[in-house]
Amino acid sequence: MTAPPARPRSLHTRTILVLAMRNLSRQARRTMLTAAVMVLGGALLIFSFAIGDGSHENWIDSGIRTSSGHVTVEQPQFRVSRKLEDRLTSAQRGEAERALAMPDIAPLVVAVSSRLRIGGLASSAAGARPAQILAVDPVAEARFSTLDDQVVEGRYLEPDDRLAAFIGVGLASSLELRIGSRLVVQAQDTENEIAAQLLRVVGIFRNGVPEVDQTVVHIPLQVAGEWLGSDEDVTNVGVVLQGSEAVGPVTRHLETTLAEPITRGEVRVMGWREANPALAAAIAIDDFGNYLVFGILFLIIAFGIVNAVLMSVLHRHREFGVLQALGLTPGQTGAIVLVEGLTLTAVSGFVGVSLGLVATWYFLGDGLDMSALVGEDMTFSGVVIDPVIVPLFRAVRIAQVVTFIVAIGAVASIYPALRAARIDIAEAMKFER
Amino acid sequence: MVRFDTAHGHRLIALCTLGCLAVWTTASAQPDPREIVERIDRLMRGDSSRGVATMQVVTEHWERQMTMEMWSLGTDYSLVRLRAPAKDAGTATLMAEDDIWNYLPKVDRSIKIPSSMMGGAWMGSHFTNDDLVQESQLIDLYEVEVAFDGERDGESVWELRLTPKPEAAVVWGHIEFLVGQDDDLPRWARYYDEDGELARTMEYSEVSEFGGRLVPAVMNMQPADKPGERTTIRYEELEFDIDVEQSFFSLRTLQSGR
Repeated sequence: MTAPPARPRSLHTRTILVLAMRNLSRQARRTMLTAAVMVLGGALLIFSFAIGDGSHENWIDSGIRTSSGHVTVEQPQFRVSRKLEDRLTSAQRGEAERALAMPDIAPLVVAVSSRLRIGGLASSAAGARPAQILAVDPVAEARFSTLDDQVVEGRYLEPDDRLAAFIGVGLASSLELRIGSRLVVQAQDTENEIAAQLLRVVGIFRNGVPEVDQTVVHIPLQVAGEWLGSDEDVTNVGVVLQGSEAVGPVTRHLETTLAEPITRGEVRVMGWREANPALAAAIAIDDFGNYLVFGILFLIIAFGIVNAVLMSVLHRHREFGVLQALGLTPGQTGAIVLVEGLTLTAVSGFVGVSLGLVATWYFLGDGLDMSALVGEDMTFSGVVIDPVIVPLFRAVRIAQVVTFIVAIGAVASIYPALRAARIDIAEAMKFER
Repeated sequence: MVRFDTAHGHRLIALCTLGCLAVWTTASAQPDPREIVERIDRLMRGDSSRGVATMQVVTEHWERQMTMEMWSLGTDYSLVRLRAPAKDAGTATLMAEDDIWNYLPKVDRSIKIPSSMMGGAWMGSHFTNDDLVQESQLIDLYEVEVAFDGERDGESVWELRLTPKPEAAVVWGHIEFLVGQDDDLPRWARYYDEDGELARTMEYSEVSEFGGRLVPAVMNMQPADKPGERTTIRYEELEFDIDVEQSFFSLRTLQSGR
C-alpha cells in the first residue's frame, strides 16, 4: 500500500474557500440577515460622517467669515492685546496679499480681505454702546463676509462711500438708528488719543448671533485711516479658502513667503483652529460625540455578527466533526469559519459603503434641509448654523469606515473560528441530525 | 455701577462752570455768539481744581446718592474718590494722560480700564461719556447763532443755537443754550436729536460763589424719554487754581484711599 501523494497546499486553500462559500450560500437566510446588519451599519456610518463633516464645514465657513478667515496674517501680539499699535504695516500687508495672489496658491483662495479691527464706542443721541469696528475695503469684504448678504435695510458699503457705517439690528435698535442717522464712533488712535469720527448709517444687517448684531460696525478702511492715523495699515489679512482642507498648504505657503518678517517676530500666520479655538473645540467635541455613537453602534453590529457566526458554528457541530474526520486539521476548520466571516463582512461592507455614498451623493446638490428640526436661526458657539446641511465627501472617511468594518468582521469571526477549531471529533460525531 | 466709571472729574467741574464768567466787561449790544461760547469753553479748561459734590441718580428702578471728592489738573489729570455711601467709600478713579485706572478698596486692587469699556453711563448716571470725554472745543464742533436775544420771564437772556459742523463727530442734531445776560451763566441746555426731538435737558441752578467765581451749584440732567428719571449733581465745595502737582495723580495716591 503506497502512501497517497501529498495534496498540494493550494488544493487545501481552494477546498477551504469552496466550503466557506458553500456554507454561506446554503444558509442564505442567515447570511442575508447578518449581511443586512452590516450593510445598514456601513451605509449609516458613511452617510453620518458625510453629514457630520458637512455641517462642521458649514460651522467653520460661517464662523471664519464673521471672524478672521480660514487663514489670517497678523501681528503676533494683536490677538492678545487687540491694540491698534500691534498692526501690520502697509508693506507687510502688501507682501501677504502678493503671496496669496501667486498662481500656485490662488486657485485655493476664494477671498482675501485686509481689515482693521478695533474696539471702540458707538454713540448716538440715544446713548452709547461698546462696538467692534471693522474697517474694510468694501469690495473685498463683500466677497469675504456673509454680512453683506444679511442686509435688512439699506445696502452694504460701496467703494466710494465716505463716513458710511454698516451696522447690526441690535446696535440700530439700542441706539435708535435708521438709514442716514448720525453715528459717532470713538476709539484710541495711533497716538493713543481718543478720537471721534462721525458716520452715517447706510445699511443694517441681521446676522442672528446676538453679539454680532449688537456690536459689529463695518466702515470703509479709508475713513478709519484718516480717523485713526493708520493710513493703509490693517490689523489682519483674512483669507477664505475653497475648504478647510486647504488651510494646511496655504498656511505653509504663507509661512515660506513671509519667512523673513516671521523670524523677526513681526508677522504671524494662523489657521482657523488657532484663531478660533472655541470653534475648533466645539467641532472636536461634536466629532468625539459622533465617534462615541458610532462606536456603540458598531459594537452592537459586531455582537450581531459574532452571534450569527457563532450560532452557525454550534449548529454545524457535526459537519465540522465530519470534516475533521475526513482529514482537515483544526486550523483548516477554523480557517473556513474565518473566511466565511471575512467574506460576509467584505461583501456587505462594500455594499453598505456604496449605499452610503449614493445617499450622500443624492443630498450633495441641494443639501439636507434641517430647518424643520432646528428652526431658521440656530447659533452655536457664536456661529450661525445654516439649517441646510450639504454633506461633505472625504476619501479618508471611506478608508476609515472600510477599515472599521473589516476589523470588526475579523474580530467577530475569531472566536467562532476558535470554537470550530477546538471541537472534539468523537463528541461531534455522536450527534444525530 | 461704580466699576467702569470714567474719570474726567475735571469735566464735571467744568460742566458746572459752563458759562460761568469771572470777567464780563464789555457789555456790547450786539454780542458775538462765538465769543460767548468761547468763554464757556475757556472756563471748561481750568488749570486746577478741587471739589466735593453729591450726585443723586434717580431711575425707574432704583435711586442712589453718592458723595465724591475730586481733583483735576489741566485736561490730562483727574482723580475722583467716593466718600459715601459707606459700602463704596474709597472707590476711586484716576485719569492720567491716556490711562484710566479704577481702584476698588474691598479687594485692594487697581484695574486699568480699556478705552472700549468707557462707554455707557457715568457711574450709572444720565451723564454719558460724551459729556465727560469731549476733547474738542464746542466752538470747533458747532456753528453758533443767537436764536433769541431779549427778555424772557423777566430776565435778559440769549438763546444760542449750536448746529454741528458738517463732519463734526457729535451725536446731537443741535443744542440750545439759554444764557443769562446779567451773570453770563447758562440756565439750561437742551440736546436734540436729528429729527429735532428733545433728547435730554440739563438745568443749571442755585448760582453760588465758589473760590471767587460765580458758579451754578446744582446741575440737573433729565432724559426726555424717561420723565421720571434724572441725575442731579450738587457742589458743596469747589476751589480753583489749587496747589496740586502732577505727581499727585499717581497710582500711589489712587490706592492710598486718602
